[in-house]
Amino acid sequence: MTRRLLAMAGMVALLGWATGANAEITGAITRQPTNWTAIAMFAGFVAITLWITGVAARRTRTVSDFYTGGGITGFQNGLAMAGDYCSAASFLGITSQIFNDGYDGLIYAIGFLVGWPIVLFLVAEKLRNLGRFTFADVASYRFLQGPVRGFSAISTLLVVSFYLIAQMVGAGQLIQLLFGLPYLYAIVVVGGLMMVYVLFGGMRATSWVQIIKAVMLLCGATAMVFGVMAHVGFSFEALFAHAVAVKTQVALDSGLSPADAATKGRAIMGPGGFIKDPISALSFGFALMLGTAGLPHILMRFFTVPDAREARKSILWATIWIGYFYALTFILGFGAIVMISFNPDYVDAGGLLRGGNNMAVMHLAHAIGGNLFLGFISAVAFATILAVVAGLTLSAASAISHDIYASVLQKGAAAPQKELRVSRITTVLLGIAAIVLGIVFEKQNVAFMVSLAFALAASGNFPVLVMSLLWKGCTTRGAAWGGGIGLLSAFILTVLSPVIWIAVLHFDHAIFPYSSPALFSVPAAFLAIWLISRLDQSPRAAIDKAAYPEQRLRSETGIGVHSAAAH
Amino acid sequence: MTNAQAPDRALEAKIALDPRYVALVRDRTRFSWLLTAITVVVYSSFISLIAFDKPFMARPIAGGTTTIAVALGAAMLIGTIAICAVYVRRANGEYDARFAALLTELTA
Repeated sequence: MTRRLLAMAGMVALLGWATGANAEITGAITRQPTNWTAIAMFAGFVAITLWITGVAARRTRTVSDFYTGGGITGFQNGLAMAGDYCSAASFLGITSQIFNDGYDGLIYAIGFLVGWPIVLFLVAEKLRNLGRFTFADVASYRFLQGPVRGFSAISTLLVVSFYLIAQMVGAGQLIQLLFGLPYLYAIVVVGGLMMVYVLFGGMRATSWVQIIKAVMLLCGATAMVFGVMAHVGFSFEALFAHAVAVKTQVALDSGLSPADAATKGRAIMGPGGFIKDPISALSFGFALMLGTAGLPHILMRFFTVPDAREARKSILWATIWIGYFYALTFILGFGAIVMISFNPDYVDAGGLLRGGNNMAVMHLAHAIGGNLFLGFISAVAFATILAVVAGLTLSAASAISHDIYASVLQKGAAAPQKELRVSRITTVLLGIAAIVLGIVFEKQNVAFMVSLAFALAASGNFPVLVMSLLWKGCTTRGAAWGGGIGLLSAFILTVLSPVIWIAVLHFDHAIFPYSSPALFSVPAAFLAIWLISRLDQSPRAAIDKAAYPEQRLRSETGIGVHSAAAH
Repeated sequence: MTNAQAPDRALEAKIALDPRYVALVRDRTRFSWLLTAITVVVYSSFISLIAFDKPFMARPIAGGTTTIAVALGAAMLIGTIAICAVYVRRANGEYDARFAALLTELTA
């Protein structure tokens, strides 16, 4: 059954490919000649990962196998976390942002990284000690299950949707550029393969897809950095000086006076217009930092290792690989300025990147190593998208099947096979939703879409998790309503901010003036949880508070939890 | 939640009341909050510098092209990894050993 479905999925993907080659394209996208090297490399990756999925499918017997993959080491999990985190949106979005604005791209990268110590110090070991499958297991540990899990599931679905959109848009642009496929077909291929990984392989397959892809991505990016540094004689100073000279020349060509052009060239070495006002800057920074501790697909990774000790190691390894990766993207962004800016193959007469505004690093790959290397990097980037969307989908599917269906609707008494079936149906629906959303949001900057997901995670999941873990006075009502208020305020403020209100909805003036809501919505969530819990005099509140000492002991020691997980 | 074996309530109570356990939790909690505070303060300072003093950040180092912003950015990446390493080393070493010793003694 599984094998036949895998074969069918493969055929559907190929069919899309074949018919897509003849379809017409629209807009300013330049379709490249078909690159068989890249297609072969990507097909190889898909073949290996499908084989892993097949193996995983045979070994996935219990619900626990499906959600956690049955336990991997801290080092492996660290690589898989890095795989989840170093998404195609980071790889394409940040390098392109550095290509356009210089230093500003690094602000994103540092914000993404600096969330990891917060996760490590405050929540990681407690999560591993208390939880089983999803972070809602932890957030609702001593509370009435319905309200808190309901909130967590809604929050997970919202965060995952925004993150998914970014990934799908990246996939579409990449395949358009590389394989000569229309956007629509690229999105369908990604959505289809992602469904196959999650449907049949569950967490085990998703973990190994992540690990393989993380290794490929780190090796590929390292090789590219080597190419860039060889070009400038292995001197950072020379790289930066060269990039400034290039940007100055571009400004001169656009008709600026020599003095203005020099200023504009030097501007790439410092923070620029990306962060316009201090409030937006701080708000954005906190969204990135605290959002990491609330991303459902990252939090889910703490349950794939055996104990808190390995969970801590996972984070250290993840931080090392992610930090290394962002250092590489910084160099690649500057490398792109130096190596592709004046080449009409990569940049059009107006100075814009061919193939869409996230493609700087792909052009750089071609400039460094020709078609073969472009093929490899494209295969890696495409694999990255596949792996990340698979992880996202798994976390959203478990929010529905484990938190809503099994724990709330069936009160924890769902038959395991039925729970699995629900998560598979959810996966299919999510796959379809991802394809539709990917098409709707085609023209958005993908790195920005990721920051939206972070703001929601920071304002909804993070405060609920921290308060339920660390504050004994927290009650069911406080967690569910307070978290809801955080989520809702982040969502509403984002819609009213310039990035949606003006850029997407085309109103003249934004109602909320800052580009990120976190500085307001995160404190709002904490305050709401605190206030509602304090005012809560219900009988349930007494139960919630009385259960804290036991939860605390377990979260600190892990005692009594390992036996619970091995049912 | 279906526990395969009932948790040992007597042992849990003994651990919770043991002064060495209380001290261990206090030490680890204090250490993790200290490192959290350092992370938040350093990162907020970095973002504030970007927001409030762009000319300072754009100043070249030693007359070259490399700026203070680039050097601080690199320091942020390395420092983030380093502070994680400090915590994991202590938690997986000292704190885990203290708890293991306590558990061995109480279950003996």
